Amino acid sequence: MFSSTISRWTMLHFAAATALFLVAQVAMAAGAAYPVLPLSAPATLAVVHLLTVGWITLLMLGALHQFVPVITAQTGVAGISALVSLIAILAGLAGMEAGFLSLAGQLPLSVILALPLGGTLVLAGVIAGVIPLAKMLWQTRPLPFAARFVAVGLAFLFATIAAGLVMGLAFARPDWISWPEAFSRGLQLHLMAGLLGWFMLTAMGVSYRLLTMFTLAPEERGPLGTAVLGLSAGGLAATWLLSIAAAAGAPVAPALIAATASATVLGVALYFVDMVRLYRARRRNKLELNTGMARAALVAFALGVLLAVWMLVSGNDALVGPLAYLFVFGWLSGLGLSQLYKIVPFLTWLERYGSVLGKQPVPRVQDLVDEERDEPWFILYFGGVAAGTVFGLMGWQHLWRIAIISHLVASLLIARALWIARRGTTSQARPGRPVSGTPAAPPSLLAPNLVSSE
Amino acid sequence: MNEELIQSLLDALRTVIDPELGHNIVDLGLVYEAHVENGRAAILLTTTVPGCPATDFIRQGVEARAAEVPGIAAVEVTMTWEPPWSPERMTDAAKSELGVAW
Repeated sequence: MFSSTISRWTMLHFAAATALFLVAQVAMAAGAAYPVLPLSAPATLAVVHLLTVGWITLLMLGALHQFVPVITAQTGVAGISALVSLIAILAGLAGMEAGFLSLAGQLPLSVILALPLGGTLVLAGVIAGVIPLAKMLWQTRPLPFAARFVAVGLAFLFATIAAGLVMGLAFARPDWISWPEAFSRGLQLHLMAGLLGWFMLTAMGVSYRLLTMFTLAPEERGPLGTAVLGLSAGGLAATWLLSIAAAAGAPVAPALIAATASATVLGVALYFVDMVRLYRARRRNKLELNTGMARAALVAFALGVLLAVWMLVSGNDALVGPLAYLFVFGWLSGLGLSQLYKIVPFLTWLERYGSVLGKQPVPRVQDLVDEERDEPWFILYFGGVAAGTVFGLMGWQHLWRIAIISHLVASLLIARALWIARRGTTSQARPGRPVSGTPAAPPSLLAPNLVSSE
Repeated sequence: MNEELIQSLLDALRTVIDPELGHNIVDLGLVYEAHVENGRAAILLTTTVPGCPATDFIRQGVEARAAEVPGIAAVEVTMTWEPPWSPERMTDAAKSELGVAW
């Protein structure tokens, strides 16, 4: 029997996401995509979607299935719809990958139709996954602070897929949609909605909730938090809508779009100020590895914003690749890996020890991992991304690939640590009373043996 | 006698931990109230955050441990998040062990 407060399918989301993250890095390290191939190469697009749909979207949806109830302070989690969502997204992603490989000439051209079909399946999967989340958010109005970021992020997720579908259709059926036109207009909207709307805003919201919770910092963010939300989410939504209007031929003054985009940047800048404030006001003096390493992800995010501003001001489009790399691997993946290091042991603890709490000695969540053992892998990961960004900016492609290999190795070792936390045993039970009963069995990765909540 | 029973109850509840903070719920200040009357224990309990996924397990752990205390025949556990828990509720020893500023 499953506890009403444990998301049954979250761990499966995490496992699939992590596997696809590793595959994408292997492809990049092997030279099968960017930075060896151009950014617009079909093989690069295949890897980009492994990262964005396979890794980050599945990671975020899996985390939201577990943490939207926490963010909204509601009981109940998504049931079978979360599994349906996962299967549909994975199947759709497989179709999209086939479509991109067809564009790359590695599969027959007729397979190109798999691109929009796969995208449609991804959309169906996202709808299945988001419905229970949206329902929970809707029932919690007025939304708590962190949940507002998530709500806007989820809206942008649909905008991302819609813009992507138009482009996929333009690729597959140019007789229906003139693809150069659809591509140039759609790509900007697709990237803005996906990278900034869905990923950035959701990560900001989740970071607010998780980091205040794990560092025991004040949850109330005050006027500064309100400004962050209003400027970043409101500014981005306005920029996106104005960009659509401009693409549709409406007379939109470029200065207006520049103003809303500037508001977004200001909102993000205030987010960094608020994060510094959060860490300074934390009650937990000694940071755990997940909250300590989250700071590196935040620094990567801040550097990425500076780089983006510099790129816009200088008009140097050559910075796009290293910028996207820093944003995806430094900020989003760095934050994701560091928080997985806490969430996976926590969920494992609930599954393995929750039902015997109070009945036999149990370890702490921290006892399921070995921070001293794993800290070097996080340092290697962030160091690799930092070096890769520098090499990318310098145009040193071969060194960049070596940097990618280094964070691939680090990712593998972090994934191994999560596997050990999931499957390993610990003898560090807390003292208090004699052992009674049989030890709890380790949970399965794919079919968790969750315990009774009765 | 009743005070002794309540103390025995709290001692028993010190074997129940908050898994994330890794410390017992009594010294974390998660037990807001504990009364015993005619062998019936009434415990008012919270979690560090509302919606905590460990809520059911902590409540069940408290029920199980309290029921084992000699002199207690029935246990009623009520969850509340008003007022919200804050680190100020921790004992000095717990704050010191967890490295919590105060």
